[in-house]
Formats: sequence, C-alpha cells, structure tokens
Amino acid sequence: MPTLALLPTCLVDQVLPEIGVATVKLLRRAGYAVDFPAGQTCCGQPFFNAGYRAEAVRLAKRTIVVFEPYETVVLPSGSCAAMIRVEYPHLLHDDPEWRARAEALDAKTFELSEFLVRFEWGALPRAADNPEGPATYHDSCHMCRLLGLREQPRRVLEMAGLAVTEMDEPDRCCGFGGTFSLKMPEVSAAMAREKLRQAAATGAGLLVTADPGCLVQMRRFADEAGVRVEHLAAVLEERTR
Amino acid sequence: MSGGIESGQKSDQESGPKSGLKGDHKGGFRAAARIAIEDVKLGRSVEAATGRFRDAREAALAELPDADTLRDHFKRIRAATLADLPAYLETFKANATTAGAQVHFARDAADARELILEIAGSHGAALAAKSKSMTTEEIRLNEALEAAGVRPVETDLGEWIVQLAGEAPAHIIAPAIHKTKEQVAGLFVAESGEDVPAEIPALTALARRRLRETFLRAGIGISGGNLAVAETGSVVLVTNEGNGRMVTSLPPVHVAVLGIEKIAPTWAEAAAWLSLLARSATGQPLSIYTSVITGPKQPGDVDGPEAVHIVLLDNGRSRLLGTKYEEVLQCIRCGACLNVCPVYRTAGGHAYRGETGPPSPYSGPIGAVVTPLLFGLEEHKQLPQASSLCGACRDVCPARIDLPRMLVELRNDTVAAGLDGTAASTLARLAAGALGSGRNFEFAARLARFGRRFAGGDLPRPAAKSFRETWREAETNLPNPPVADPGPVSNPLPEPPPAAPAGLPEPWRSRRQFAEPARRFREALEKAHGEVILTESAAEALAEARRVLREIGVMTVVADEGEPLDGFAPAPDDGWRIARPGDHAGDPEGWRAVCARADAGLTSAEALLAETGSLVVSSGPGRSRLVSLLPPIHIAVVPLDRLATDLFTWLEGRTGPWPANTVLVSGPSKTADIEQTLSVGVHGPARLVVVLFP
Repeated sequence: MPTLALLPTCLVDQVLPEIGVATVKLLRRAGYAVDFPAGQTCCGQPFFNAGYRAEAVRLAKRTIVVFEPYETVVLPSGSCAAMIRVEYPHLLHDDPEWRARAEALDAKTFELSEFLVRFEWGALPRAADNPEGPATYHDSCHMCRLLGLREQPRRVLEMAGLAVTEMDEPDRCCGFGGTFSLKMPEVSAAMAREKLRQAAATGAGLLVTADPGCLVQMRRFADEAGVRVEHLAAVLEERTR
Repeated sequence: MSGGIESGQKSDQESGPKSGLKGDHKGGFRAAARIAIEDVKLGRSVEAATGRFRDAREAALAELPDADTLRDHFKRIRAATLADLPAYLETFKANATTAGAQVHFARDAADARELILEIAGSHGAALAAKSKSMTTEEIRLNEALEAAGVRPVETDLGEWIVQLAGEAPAHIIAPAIHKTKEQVAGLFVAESGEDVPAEIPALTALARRRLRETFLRAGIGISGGNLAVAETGSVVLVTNEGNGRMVTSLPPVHVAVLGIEKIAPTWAEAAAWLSLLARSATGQPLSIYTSVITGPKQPGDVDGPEAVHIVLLDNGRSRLLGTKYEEVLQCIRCGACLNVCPVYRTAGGHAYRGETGPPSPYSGPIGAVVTPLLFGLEEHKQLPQASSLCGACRDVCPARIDLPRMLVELRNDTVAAGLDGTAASTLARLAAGALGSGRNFEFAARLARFGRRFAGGDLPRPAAKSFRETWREAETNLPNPPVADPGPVSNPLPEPPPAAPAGLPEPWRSRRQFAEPARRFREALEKAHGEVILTESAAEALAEARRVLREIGVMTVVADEGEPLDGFAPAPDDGWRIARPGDHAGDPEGWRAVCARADAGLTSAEALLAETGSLVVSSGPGRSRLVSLLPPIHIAVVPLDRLATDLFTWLEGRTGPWPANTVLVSGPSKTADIEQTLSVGVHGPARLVVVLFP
C-alpha cells in the first residue's frame, strides 16, 4: 500500500501547524494515504546555510534514515525540498554509501505543487469556470532556481480557481534567507517591504507562497502593505472543500 | 619608494582619507547598510539604475541565438585557462615583450604601487590621467600617487565624480550610480569655479572641456585592462566615453594594471569573452570602444605612447588557485550579479566593507566573495553573511560562477575559524543536538513553547500546539481515504552536464547569419546612435562625406591617408581645409594640436562587423589614433567588401601581426554615468557617420 510520507518541515511543525494540517487534508482529499514519520526533526538547511556543515550532515543523515521506509515524500516547502534534493547529494558526495541513499531520497521527494501537477491533481475537484481572485504568487528562491518549479504552483492555483496576476519581480527574494534575517535584520526587512510593495501594486489582495519561511517573513509586513499572505497548501485546501 | 606608503598590503584596507559612509566607518556591512536604507533617495537611484542594467542585459542575451551555450563555452574557457594560468602568463609576457611592452608581475598591492611610482618617476610625470580601473582602486593607487607628488585625475565621468566627492565607487561599472545631477553640479562648480546648471548635457560638456586638458597635459596614462591576450601580448580595454582611448594614446607613457586572472589564451577565447562582457554589463553588444593595445607606438606610427608597461597584479589571487575558491577567478567584472542582487540593491555598494576600513572596490555578490578572500576573512567576516543565498547572481553570471556555493563555503570557514561568535555557535550546536535526536527535540520544543512569552518581537513564536501533537491526537479522527496509488515514483532532477574534458574547448563557431548584413550593420549602429549612409560608388561616398562636412559648417578636417581617402579634398567653395598626418611628419606635437582643434576627423576602417555595427580602425603609417578620437565628429568612408558577420568571423579571417592600437568603434562616445541618462560626446566624438559603398 503506497502511503505518502509527509515532511511538513520543522517550521510548520513548531510555528505554523495549520499548514501541516491543511497539507494532510488536501492530500487525503486527493485520494492519498498520508503518514507523518514521527522521528523527523529538521532537514538541516539552517545549519547548512549558516556554515555549520557537520551539523547539517548529521541532520541530513537522520532525515534520510527516517524517510527510507517510504516510497514517496511530499513537502509543503520548496526550500526544504531543494535542501534534500540538491544539497544532500552534495553534502554526502564523498561517501558513496550515503550519497546513494541521498540520491534515493532525492528521486522520491516532491514539493507539494509539483506532486499535485505530476499526478494530475489526484481526486481533487476542479474549480468552477468562474475563477475567483486574483492572487499573486511569490517564487521562493530555491524552489524556482534550484528545482525549476515556477509553472507548477501557478497551475495548481489556477486549477483551484484563482487567477494569478504577476508582480514586477515574482522571483525577487523576500529577504528571509534563514539566519540572514537574524544577522542582517535591517536589510532583510527592507527586502520584505519591497516584496510586499510589489505584491500590493498588483492589486491582488492575496499573496501566495509555497514556502513557510517566506510566509513568516512576508507576514511580518503584510498589514502595513494591506496584503494577506497565505501558504499554497492553505489556499488549496480552502478552495477544494 | 616615496613617503606615505611604507606599510604593506594590510594597510590597504586599514586607512584612507575618505570619511563618513563613503570612507572609513566602523561597524562593517550591517551598520553601513542601515545608513543606506535610511537614505530613500539613494535607494531609489540604485534600484532604478540596476533595474535598467538588468533589463538591458536580458534583452541583449535574448538577441543572441545561443547565449546559454556560449556561456557554457565561456565557463569552460575560464576554467581551462585558470588550470594552466602560469603558462599563459609566461606566453603573454613573452609576446607582449616582443611587441615592445614591458611586463611586470606585482606580488601584492605595495609591490604594484612601487612599480608604478617608479615608472611615473622615471618619466618625470606630475599629472596622471586615469581611466576607470577597479584594480587600481584595489591597490589604493591614487593615494600613493598623491603622496609621491603625482596628481591622479580620474577621467571616466562617473569615476571623476566620485573622486571629486572623495568617495569610493559604488558599482563596478557605474561608480556614481548613487549621485543625483544636483549633487554632481555641486561638485563640478567647486572643481571648476564655473557656474554650471544641474543639467546633464551641460555637466557632460564641462567634464569634456576640463578633462581634455588633463589628457593633453598628462605625463602618464594609467588604465586597467579588461583582458590580456596571451598569443599576441595585447591588452584589451573597453570604454564607452573614449577616455580609455585618450589615456592610452595621448600621454607619452601608458601603464595598464590587470589582475593575473584576466588572461585569454588566444583571440578565439577573447572573442567569446568580449561577446559576453558588454552584453552582461550594460546590455550593449559591444561597448562603444574596444581598444586593443599591442605594445607602444611602432616605427612609422603617427602617434601613441613611447612606452607601455603592463602590471599584472597577484595580491592574493594565486593563493586561490587549486582551492575550492578557484572558480571566483573566472569573474570578468561585468557587474551583472550586482544588478540582480536584492541585497546589493537594498544596501548599495558602499556597504561592502570591512569592520573598520573603507568600502571594498568590489561590491555585490562577487564583492561579498572576493573581498574576504583577497583582503582577509576576519576583517570582512560580515560580507559572506550579506546574502540571502537567493541565487539570482548565479543565474546571470556570464561564467556561471556558483557564488552562493562559495558564500556557504566562506560561512563554513567563518565557523571553523571561530569567527561566528560564541553565542551563535553555542546556540547552533545546542539546536543541532536537540534536532539530532527525536526525544531531545520534543523536550526542547516544549521548552521553547514555554518560553514563547519571552520571545523577541520579530522572531516567529512557537504555536501553542505543534503539528506533531495535533497529529498524535487527531490522526485517528482523520481517516486515510481509499488509497490512490501514485504508481512507481521517480523524480530525478536533470543530470548535471558531464565533466568537461580538460583543456580549452574548440573555438566557438559563430552561428550568426544575416540575410542582409549591410542592413544589420546599419540597424546595430543606429541603435547606438551612429549614422549610416549607403551609397552606390566610392565617388558618391566621398561626395556624401563632403556634403556632411558642408552641412556641419566645419573649418578644419583631419584625415587619415590611404584608400579610399587619398585625394579627398574640399571643392573651392567648400570653405574648409584638410590636414593629414604626412603634413606634420616629425612634428607629433603640431599634429596633436591640429587634431585637438579640428572640427571633424575622416578615416576609413579595415573591417566592419555587421552584428554589432562596429568599425575596426587601426594605427599605422599615415593613420593617426587621434583623427577618430579628438574632433567632435568622426566620419568613416568604408567599402562594403570589408563587412564581416561578427567578431568571431572577423577574427578567424584576420591575419598578420597586430598594430600597436586597434579600436572597434561601435557608436559615438557616450556616457550614462549621471542618473543613467544617455549623453553623447563626453570625451570622444559626439557624432559618428559611416558612409558605405560597394
């Protein structure tokens, strides 16, 4: 019996549990069995990006082991997906055994919108002919640049009945960058304000992202920009009930 | 060595006369960025300027039939060149020496300064005309020259502006990106004592007038170099204003300063380099002037410097060869990564600096990598952190340098060297310990939730109930549906390209084909604000040239010798006179004065490049560098059988040794250094008229 293993990410687990719940509901509604491997903690990306390589390797190995029994892994996070798919094989490159295990995880891991598009939306109801919206979509950096996932999130939004109207620079970084937002808070905040300014300028009241990190960052400035910021999973779950 | 610069390389980043955000400033990147962010006007000009560069680059690369393949090819060229760098440097030295240049290797900044001061001293130079060079910024040359009694004058408009302001360049290719025209007018009034309005044409005209005196009086010309070609010992310098041509043609001695990594083994590699450089930098197919300098004035040449010195600067570069950072030496300093970097666009160029010293000449993503590598990680420990690792830089780099990877490596080095701070590293290790074991994680998470009421305002607060707690409680209530089977799943990422074979790739074969090359030439040149007149015969072409001269109302015309211009003369009622280099044989000063006063210059060209709308003009007997440079109008009369498709095809067909000076002219002199607004004729001719005949 194939069961999807959910990797909600540590940020969703501890800070944004509603996104994890929405992802589970959505995937079950699409017809898939979902499991949450309880041994998971963090993919290691914050450590990798901050220069704590040994710690990142340790968490990478832990994540590989936890998800090894499953056939398919789905994440509601483009950047954690990129960490697993692109950086694990690099990090473990010099150890043939671990590298092979990392590559095996890479090959069965999907970002949420990528999974939904790849398996044709599952059993989810298609939206009515009259699209609601519009929404604007923020491309998170690693999802679009390292995984090349630009079209998929837009497609699922449209399937859910949301017209997507584009910002000037949909793939301009929101300034989160993990520890970057702690080390360079002023630059990080200015970057987020620019992102929200562009989002507000589209006239769409809803800004959607597929990354919990970007969500946390952009929400801090959402009120002053008059824009609502939501995660892709929450938006899709709400519109496919 | 003269006084004031006794200290070694370390002092380079430690002291300087500059003050405020522009000069020395404590607190490093974060503190300087904070000041920049508060300056709303600065932010807007940087944002607008970089946005224009970014869009222009994208359009220029999209116009190429195979830009991505060319970039892959160029990456291989750069990697293969660095793999064999010492050999190429030796080849370069041998060939440049044969051409009459003197090549010097400078171990570090102090060494380079000493060499250049010696050269200036031996020629008795009191005034140095400089064209924009980040490498001379790197070695703090201007301060050393001043201390030695040689007055350096920057002649690139943007660089002159920041020199007058006592600041450092804020962008690799647009030094005054942060200045408004009002600020520039204030600086110019103070410099010249003249009353000049805050209007860009008036400001440009003032710069032309003031700096023209510098070019004519300077005892030494100092330039950088965009690349050096080993097989012919040539230095290539690209500029838009024409100041690079002035600096390398007018003073009696020319010194070019380049990093040792700027080597192209042969012209095949140089052509790929030049095809990407200007497109990536400003979105131009080629810069207005691409000067190829192969040794000093040759016997029989009309003009040019008597001596050419080439200083190849190491200053920490060779230390990177063979390390995980070697790739950073593939950089050609186009600045494309700055223009797409959201951190640079927010913080500005002056934020890229050490904990105590002045700004690094290298800013943006490339600066964040190269500055700590060349000038020390401890002093510049904030720079590797000055990135959200978004990866936009990697996407636009002509050499596809993986800057985010190197930023992460530098962060690894920061942690390993104990420079990340005790609090940060303790926290990181504790957190990794907690996350490394499921039980510790649950405990730590519960602790964090307990402490959430104390959390700082901006940190994300833990939820009252974590997802895993919700899952445990509700999992049985949320039944899995009848299972849909995703089937056999495989989601591999695209395979990376196989490792390239060692050695230089086969020369790039141009895939350009123009149904009507003459028309393409015309369109390309007109896009750069040049003028093209197509005629039916040589006689008609010369008649057209005469008509243009009459229309302008010129008094004096200077013209090269040789076909098709031999015998070209005014009709009795034309009202102008013509001078040729032969009329002033043995009197270079007299010839220079004539050219400086002339109203128009008339040349032919040895080749035309259709793709880029370029003329190839070389020095030689009867052909003066100044004819196409000093007068306000340049008219070229050229037969169409010299039309080549592009740089690659022209170079493939080119034979014979290189003259001392060859310049590819791709439009009238221009600048956009003040508020990114186009202004023509800043140093070179404001008008370029090309008359073609079959």
